[in-house]
Order: sequence, then structure tokens, then C-alpha cells
Amino acid sequence: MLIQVENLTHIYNQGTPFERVALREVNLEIEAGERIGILGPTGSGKSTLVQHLAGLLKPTAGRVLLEGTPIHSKGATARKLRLQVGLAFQYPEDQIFEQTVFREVAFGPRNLGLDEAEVAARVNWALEMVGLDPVAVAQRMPFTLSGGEMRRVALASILAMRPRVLILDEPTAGQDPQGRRALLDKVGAWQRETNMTLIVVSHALEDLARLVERVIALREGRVVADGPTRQVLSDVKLLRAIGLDVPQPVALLQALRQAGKEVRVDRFLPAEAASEIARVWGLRGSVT
Amino acid sequence: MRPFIEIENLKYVYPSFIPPHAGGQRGGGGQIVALRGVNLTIEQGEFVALIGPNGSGKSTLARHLNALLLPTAGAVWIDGLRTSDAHNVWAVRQKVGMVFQNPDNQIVATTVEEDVAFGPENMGLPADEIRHRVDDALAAVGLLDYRQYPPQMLSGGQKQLVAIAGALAARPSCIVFDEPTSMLDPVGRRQVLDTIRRLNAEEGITVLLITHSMSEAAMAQRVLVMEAGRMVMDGPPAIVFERGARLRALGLDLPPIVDIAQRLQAWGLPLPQGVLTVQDMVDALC
Amino acid sequence: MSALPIGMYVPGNSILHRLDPRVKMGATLVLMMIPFAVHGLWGYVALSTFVVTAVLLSGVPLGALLRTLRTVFWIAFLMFFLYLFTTPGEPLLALGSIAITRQGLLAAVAQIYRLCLLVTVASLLTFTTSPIHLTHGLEAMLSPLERARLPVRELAMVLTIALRFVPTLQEEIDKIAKAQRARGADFRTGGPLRRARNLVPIFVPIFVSAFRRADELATAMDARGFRSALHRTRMRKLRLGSLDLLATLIVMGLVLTVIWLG
Repeated sequence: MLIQVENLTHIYNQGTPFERVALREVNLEIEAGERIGILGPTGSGKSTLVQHLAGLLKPTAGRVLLEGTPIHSKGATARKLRLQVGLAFQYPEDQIFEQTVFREVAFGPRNLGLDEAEVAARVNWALEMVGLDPVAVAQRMPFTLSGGEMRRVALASILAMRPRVLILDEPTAGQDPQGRRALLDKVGAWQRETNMTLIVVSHALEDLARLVERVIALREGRVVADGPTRQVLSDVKLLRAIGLDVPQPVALLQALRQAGKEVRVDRFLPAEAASEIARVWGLRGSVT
Repeated sequence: MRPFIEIENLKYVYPSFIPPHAGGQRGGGGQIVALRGVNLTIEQGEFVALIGPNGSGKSTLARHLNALLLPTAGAVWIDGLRTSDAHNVWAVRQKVGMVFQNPDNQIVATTVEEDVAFGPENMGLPADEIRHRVDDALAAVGLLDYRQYPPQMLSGGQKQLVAIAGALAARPSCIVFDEPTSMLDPVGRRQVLDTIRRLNAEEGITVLLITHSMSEAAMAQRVLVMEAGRMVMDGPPAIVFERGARLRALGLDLPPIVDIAQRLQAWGLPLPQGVLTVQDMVDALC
Repeated sequence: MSALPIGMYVPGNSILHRLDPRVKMGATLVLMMIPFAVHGLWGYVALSTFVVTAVLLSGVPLGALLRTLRTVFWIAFLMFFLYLFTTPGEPLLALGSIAITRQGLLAAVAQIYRLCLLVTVASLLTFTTSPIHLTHGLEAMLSPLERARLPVRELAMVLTIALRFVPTLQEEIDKIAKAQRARGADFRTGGPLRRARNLVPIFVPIFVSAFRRADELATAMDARGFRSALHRTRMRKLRLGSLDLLATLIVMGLVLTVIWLG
């Protein structure tokens, strides 16, 4: 077992008029190499949970274990452990501070205490992983890049630490459709190449459908669903209850089913839904 | 009668600094040609969506509609007023309101009602009239109960509704929405889109909605597509989305239902033209 | 947001919340000065009764007030011993060359009392007055200075916007600090110079974002027809009501009582 979350409770501003319970006795188990999506409306506790997974918050009660060791405890061992979890916040380009792309991406590896040759190798590797040409961009000022490129530099700066667990909070927020697709493809490729554990927080059900195999849904600080992606994302009742839009392909299949057609409803990508309709309507050439 | 918005051969070149909102066009530092001759008319009461990849000039065009930017060449008329005439600026800004992407960076005051009052206060209206307009605007977006709230206690969607109320309080004929939902969660997105739709249908407000979401664009009566500073498509959603290959080449998507319909048609299923919604599709199939 | 900012406005509808900000600011000033006119026990009793009543009327949670008082604990601690050991007079207890005197003990207690009163009164003002009222009151009280060409209205606007962005910036600093910690940044170890340098990964992004926010805010203000503070009218006009008159009379009564009691 890679990560265990035990009875985790988190309360902000405890004992003040602004007290807010963000997580209530959450229990989770995550295996190495899993690809997990986290869903939930604003205020459901998603960001609090992922910050706990990265050891950035102190639990009000309960604990988070990474390979059996509490990730928030003091001392060098726990710090080393925390650095095995990479967390990209929403709009990660906001964290960029260095004068060159190289130094920005090298910040994390240097903090790991690696020697300069290894740092340089990791920077190159990470830039290539995010689809940037190291030769072309390494010495450029990050602030002269486009918004999409800055996002990729920020992600590279996390990848360069070679985390065993990578957490992405809304990685495609604010990107145009093409940028979205390109980024999702990249993330999938990193995961396959490094076999890291991937945790993606997103409202975009289509993004999750493309990337993850297991989805955890939160609502008001509690886990309300935890299961295979296909099952959770086609649970119309659940999605409505947590305030999410039912993916249009699922809504369509659901409506067809209600009209008496024998279609499966757990097809949330347009291509999959089209194939399903084609199968039931007996169209030729539709096998994908 | 003249159309409400008239744009004639509009060209815009950014001076040699980096425009903060020019997305994908940033870099280099030299002059950036953002608009290369745009012609467009929009009638009072229309609901128009504007799509295009990052850096195609959407935001630059939007900023011309209330004289935040003035044409390098060509002209923009709002309700017959030319935006480049200096004495028209305040009238133009009253007629066309704007709502931007980041809900946090457009709220100026520490309570909801004080923020909504900002526009009318700038117009120099008497206190009673401002109060009246603020109440009307908050009622129109359903935030009357939140009038005393500090902005940081609102959700992203509610903050955007405050921004919409702030625009409404100036009693504009048109509101330009520059990616108003891209930083919101699905709940906030729905709140904002429902409000936009209602303002258009019930109050007759002309809407220009810039978006990256094809499903949002499909809600409009008319869809405009920009690429590299030019208007490359203009028509009802059913017609624009028929050109799936062209849109994909521009880095855009299709709304999921249109995507499904086109795949089925390609496999030989006869479907009527203009299938946009789940209901259209169910009607066609069953 | 992990810690609550000190003295943050607590929304409510108590009598204190409803008072005109000018009255509250005036009363706060008076109450901050009045302890220096108090010398006898009965003066302290009158003053304390007044302040305790005000705290109870405000409906502000006592925990929040205590948290604020805790921030001055060390200053109070130091002041207490300073006065205790340095005031000459009739000795109560002698420890070698240092003597604790009766006068010293009284002076030390009086200083702590004054400090706590100061903090209580000031936080009562910020707890019960929204930032908008605070700036509005300030603007109104400073408006005579406009004749001396002081841009009071512009200053009030700047102050409003600054207050508006305090929580936003706080959240942002918190987020960036966490993001950099996740990349192995260390803000806790090393000497002062090293620590200062370690803050660069936080300050640079915060500055960059502050400039972007300022730019976007300016655009949004332009779009909403902002010209200059002089063209503007205001929705809210401060008007003194009977409650304000009553409060003013009560505070004046308190001042006279305290002076009379000596």
C-alpha cells in the first residue's frame, strides 16, 4: 500500500467565528501506479485532501501515511517522503519565479541535493516530457513565454523532481481545446513512462475519462463515491447530487434508454457514444 | 435603423510592450498585430458567441466594443457613436458593459452592494437613484440577500454574478463577456450561463460571449470564429459546427452532441441538419 | 487561509454595528485617551463597566477578542516587570538591590490595564465596523483637509481597494508558499540572510501576480466608467441618527464621570 488516509479530519480556523470543517473522517487507500481522479464541487474538500496527500497541512485529527510513515511528522525522513509527492496547484504558472526556464525547472532537483550533472539531465528530460525543446527554451525568461508554455514549464519543474506521486489540480483550466488535448496526452504519456501514481483533481469529466481508472467523489468533506471511472462518471444521480454536469453523451444515452432503446449508458466520450448508438442501430463500419 | 454594433475594417496593432491578455501571442516584444481587418455588425438583442484559439484576437476585439482600446485603423460604432471620438467614450462605456475572466480582479469594493454601486457612482448619479439601480441589478442576478457580503465570502460563480450586476447597474444595452466561466466550477458556470441567457431573453440585453467551451457557444443564436486576427466564420451554430474538420484544424472542438451526430452521419445514419442538443438527437433517432 | 487575521470584521447587527462610523471612531479615540485621566479605583470601575458593557453589546465572540489580546502578551509581560522594578517608592519586597514597591505594583497593573483597554477598544472598532464603513468614516472625518488640497477621496478609494485585496493576497501567499514547499523550498532553516533569500520564490510570484491583478483591475475600472474620484457621487451618505446621538451623550457622560471621580 503506497498511501493510506486514516480518519482524516481537517478544520480551518478552529475556535473562531469563521470555523469551517473541510474534511470529515476520510479514509482512503491508494496503490502504487494507480491513476485516480478526484471530483467534487467547490468546498467539498478536494484541495484540502490533496494538500494533505502532499504533507502540506497538519491534520486536525487522523493521519496520512506514505509507505507506512506519517507524511506530516517532523524531521528529515518525513521531509524526504514529502518530496516524493509532486503537487501542481491550479494555474501552476503562478509559482514561476526564476530568471531562466532552466533555473526554474532546476529549483526542485537542487532542493533534493542532486549534483549539477544530474540536475541538468533532469531538467532536459522534464522539458522534453512536457513537449518543450530544451535547447530552444532553457535560457529564455519564463515570463516571455505564452501562457500555455508557462504552464508546461511549471509542470516540468515538478516532474523534474521525479515524484512517485504526481497530483494535478485542474491541469487544463483556462486552456483552449487544442491545448487541453495536448496536455492530457502528455500527462498520460508521463504516467506510462514513469509508472508514477497519478492523482488528478478536475471538474472536466471528459479529462478524467481520458486519464484515470478510478474516481473518488467528495461532498461536504466526505467520500461519497469511490470506484472505477466508468461506473462513477455514468452515475447520473451521483453527479447531479454533487452539482456536476452530466456529460452530454451520457445524458443522450440515458434519454435514448428512457425512450426504450437498449443502449449502455457508461460511454462518456463522443466517439464511444457514437459507436454505442451505431451498434444498437446496426450501422456498418462503426467498429472502433 | 443602424445596427447596434458596427465594426468596419478594424485593425489593431499592440504597441511594443507585451499585452497582458494576448495569450498565445506573447513573446518577442516587438509589435503585435492583433486584428487584421475585422468587419462585423451585431443587432440590438442578439446573442452572439465568439470562439477561436488562444491569441486569435478575441479579447482585443472585445476591448474595442467599449473603447478600452481604440482602432489603429478602421472604425467601431456603438449605437451610432464612433468610439474613437473622445467625447463618446463615457456614453459608449455606459452602453456596453464588460465582464472579465477572473472574478477576483474586477471587484473594487469590500461589500457586494458597494461594488455594484461603483458604475453608477462613476456616472455621478444621485444617491437615491444609485440605491435603486443597485437593488434592481442585484435582484436581476439573484444576489439581493448577499448585498452586505464581503467578496471573499462568495463562491467564484457568485463573484461573477456580482460583476454582472455591476455591469447591469449602468443600464447598458449590451454586455460583453470575456471568458466569464473559464475559472468557475460547474455550479458557478451554470449560475452565470443561466443569468446570461435570462438577461438576453427577458431584458433584451445584447450579449457577446467569448468562450472556449463549444457547448456554451452552441447556446447562442449566432457563432463567430476568429483566427489570427480575422473573422473566419459567422453563422448560426448549426451551420458553423457543420464544418467540423475546419474547426478541428483551428484547434477547436465540436459540441459533444454535434460530434456524435457527425460520426453517425458518416456511418450512414440519416439525421436532419442542425442537431445541437440531446433533445434534437432523441427526436431524430426515436 | 490557515490563521484568521487579527481584528477582522465580524458581521453582525448589534447596536455597535449600527452606530455611525464617525461616532465609533471618535469614541474610540476618546476611550484610548481617557485612561490617562483615571487615577482612583472608582474611575477604573466606571471605565471598565462601560467597556465590558460595550463588548457584551457588540456580540463579538470573546474567544476572538482574547486571541487579539494574546498578541500583545509579550509586550504586556515586559511592561509589567519594567514598571514593577523601576518605580521608586514604599518597598513591599526587596530582592538584593532590586525592590518591588507598592507604587511599582500599582503602576504595573495600571499599565497592563491601559494596554488591554487600548487593544480591546481598538479591536471593538474593527470587529464591528466593516472596512467600507471604516474608510467612509475616515473620509468624512478627513474631508475638511480637502481644502488644504489633500486628495482625501482618492486616498479613501486606494484604502478601500487595498482592504479589498488583503484576503485575496493572503490566500495567494499561502498557495504560493505551499507550492514552493512542495518543490522542496525551505523557509525555516538558516541564518537571517539565507532565510530572506529563501523568500524570493514567494515574493517574485506575488509581485508578478499583484501587477497582473492591478492591471486587470484598472481595466475593469475603466470599463465601468471610472474617471477620477472627483466626478463620483456616493450611494451611501452617512447620516447621524438618534442612536448615534445617544451614544455620543453616553460617552460624554462617561468622560465627565471619570474626570469627576478623578
